Amino acid sequence: MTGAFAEIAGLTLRHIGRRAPALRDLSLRWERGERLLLLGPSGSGKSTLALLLDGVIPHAVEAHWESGSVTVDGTETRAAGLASLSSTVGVVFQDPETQLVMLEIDDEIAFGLENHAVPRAAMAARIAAARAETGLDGVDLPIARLSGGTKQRVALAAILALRPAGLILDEPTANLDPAGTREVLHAVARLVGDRERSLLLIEHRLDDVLPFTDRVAVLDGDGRLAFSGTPREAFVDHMARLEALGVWIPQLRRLAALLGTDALPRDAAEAAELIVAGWPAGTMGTVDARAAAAPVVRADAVGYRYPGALRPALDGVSLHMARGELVAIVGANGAGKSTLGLVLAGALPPTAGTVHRDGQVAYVFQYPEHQFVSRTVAGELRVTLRARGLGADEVERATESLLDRAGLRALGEANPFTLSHGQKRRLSVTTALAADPDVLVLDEPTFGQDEHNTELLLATLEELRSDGRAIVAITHDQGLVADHATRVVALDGGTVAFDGPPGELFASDELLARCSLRRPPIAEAFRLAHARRPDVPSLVGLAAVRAALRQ
Amino acid sequence: MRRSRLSLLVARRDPAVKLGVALLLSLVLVLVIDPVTPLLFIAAASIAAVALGGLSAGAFARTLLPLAVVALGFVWTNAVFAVPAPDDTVWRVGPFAASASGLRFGVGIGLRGLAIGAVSLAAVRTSDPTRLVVSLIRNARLSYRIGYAVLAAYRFFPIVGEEYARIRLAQRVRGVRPTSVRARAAAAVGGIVPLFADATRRATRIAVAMDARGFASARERTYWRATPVTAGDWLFALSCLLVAAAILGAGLAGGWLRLWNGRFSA
Repeated sequence: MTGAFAEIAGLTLRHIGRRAPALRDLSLRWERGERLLLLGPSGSGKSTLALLLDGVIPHAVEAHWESGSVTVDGTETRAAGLASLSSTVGVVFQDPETQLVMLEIDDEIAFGLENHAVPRAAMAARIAAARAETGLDGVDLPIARLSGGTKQRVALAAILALRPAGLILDEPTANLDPAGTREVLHAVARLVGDRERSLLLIEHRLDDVLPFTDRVAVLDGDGRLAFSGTPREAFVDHMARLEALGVWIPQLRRLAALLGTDALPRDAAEAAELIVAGWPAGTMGTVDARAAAAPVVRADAVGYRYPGALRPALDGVSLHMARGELVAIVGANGAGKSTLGLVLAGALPPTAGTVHRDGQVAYVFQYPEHQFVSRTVAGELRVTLRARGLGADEVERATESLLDRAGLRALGEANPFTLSHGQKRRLSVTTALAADPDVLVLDEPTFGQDEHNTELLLATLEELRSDGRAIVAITHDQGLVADHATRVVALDGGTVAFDGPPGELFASDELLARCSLRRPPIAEAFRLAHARRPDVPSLVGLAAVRAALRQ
Repeated sequence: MRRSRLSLLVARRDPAVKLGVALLLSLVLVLVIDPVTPLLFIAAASIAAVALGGLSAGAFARTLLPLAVVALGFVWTNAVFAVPAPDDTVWRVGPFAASASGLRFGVGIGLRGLAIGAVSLAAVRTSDPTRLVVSLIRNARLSYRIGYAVLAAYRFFPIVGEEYARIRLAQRVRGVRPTSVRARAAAAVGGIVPLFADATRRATRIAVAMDARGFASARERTYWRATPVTAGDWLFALSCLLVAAAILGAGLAGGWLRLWNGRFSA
């Protein structure tokens, strides 16, 4: 157990067709058996690093290798072959749909073994072992019928069957619902407990992965190494610096900081200790005492059945949205969340029941590219402004002011498809605002956004809400629900399982299980603390903690 | 639903052998121009697919439907546009006149196409797709690069359809509501741009994921699926050829069998 498992020395690498390097003068050691957490804002080169370490760059994907070297398991990757590299380091990617090749689980696990010419006689045992390690024993459905979390475990099993000495997980839970996330992270935690493999993890759900993180490395927006150290050094000693870089901080660490300690709680139980010890006596949760406004959208017994579908996607849904509310719609994948959003927005006509709208409803799709209809950024805004019936002068004036507001003025003539992830999201939200909506429905608004862009977006939503608009966010982001939602609607199998304040939803184990949800770490910590010290309120998110402590 | 051994007789046979038999029968069918022989082949293929292959009758019929539409097109073109013999007109619709010889030729050629389709689809639809591809790679020298690309693409087809529907919906929500035929065509094309961007990104990602598992660098591969061609498979192939010979023999004896004589009219 001596020496680095992988060592990157002075590496500068530029992707073909790009002017700026993806990684700049990067030096980083990944020790043998070490569990390394890699952080960085979007576009900082994290995924590039993953592809470098398993040899895909430069052996299958070319790039301009400007300087430096990458050594894995004692061999320079440029000199080694992809065949040996790809069995030394295995990568699980973000999206299960674009890494699974086969139709059946065993074929999928065997695919890598076949490529590495493992004899057929040895395959059955390795497939069985990989299934056991990922909890897939006895799962025999075709891959197309598995949930996202289970598909991702198949991807993990397929990598483990190759028995790699190093395992890289590149945002393995980004595309999953909360239950799928828990499923995958449990499997990972079990795998890396014994440090038999070296682990490089790219993940922003930090509270879940902190218990098995040995060291944290942070890349900055230019692909340089900005920081490397223990989790404590990263999130306690250098918290402000990491925040400035736009990377996520564990929620429980933020809670500890609010309580005035320099602790780094590893789980909700440790955080609960801090609350029990340090919660100021007599500090209660604040209550949002605003009177409910008149509903601006109301659904009465709404049902929707897609053409040719056996079961309705929505069945007997009754609810309303009022001005000044931020309503989160949550539930498992396939529970009918997006369908409900589209029906509320009038994009899909309900096949049963009625929807009353007392104003304009705009809809922002999960993937901004899907709704681009123009060749320029400014053109996107003009399309919507013209549809509102504004005159030519007004359209130009409104376009300018919206571009300013979104921070996209310099990009007015750029093609929307060439924008960065965060810019695309800002543009899609701004085009919806161009319609001057009374209700804004957003599908997974924080998906794939880094901390900085998420903060910007949430600030915009809060502002729109206090302007008296209603915001409806369809989301798997439990942090958004806990910190920003005034009300939450949980769907289960196309029906409303819960409609009320987030605190009530997060208090019920039964509801959480039924709707494939998880209790956010802050809510869990306060629940544990409340059980031991009844005067501690049952708060659900950091926003509530801040408000309570401000009193 | 448990299937009896009999209903899996065809399904269990090696897919490459089935496809080979279908190819042979298709070569024979190309030469047949009477309407009865192809009908008998269609009947035999349906029995193989439904009674012996475990497919539902409805599913097999739906698979054949597009081919049936094309076959009807053949009938129409030949009936109306074949060079008519004098006084051969059977019926008239507006400016179109159908000749009896053209109609006969059209029906023959249409059914022939349908029979070739029925035989081939019976082979494909009674086979597990993974086993079909692996058997073609191992027993019929299909390049594994093409074979696995086909399997990966097979997973994509339903996703692409859903994606296109979602993009069109998104653009409608943005206010793209075309009224004229021309605007509708433009909107349909407009939906393809993001779809193409998506498909390219997906294809790139899956190619990278496959390479990360050693696909491109494999010098020799092994296979998890055993796809041996057994005596049972050869027996099956022989039985198919015997049935085909019996159908042709019956046509010869009954006098309805007609083979193509090298000319493009009856």
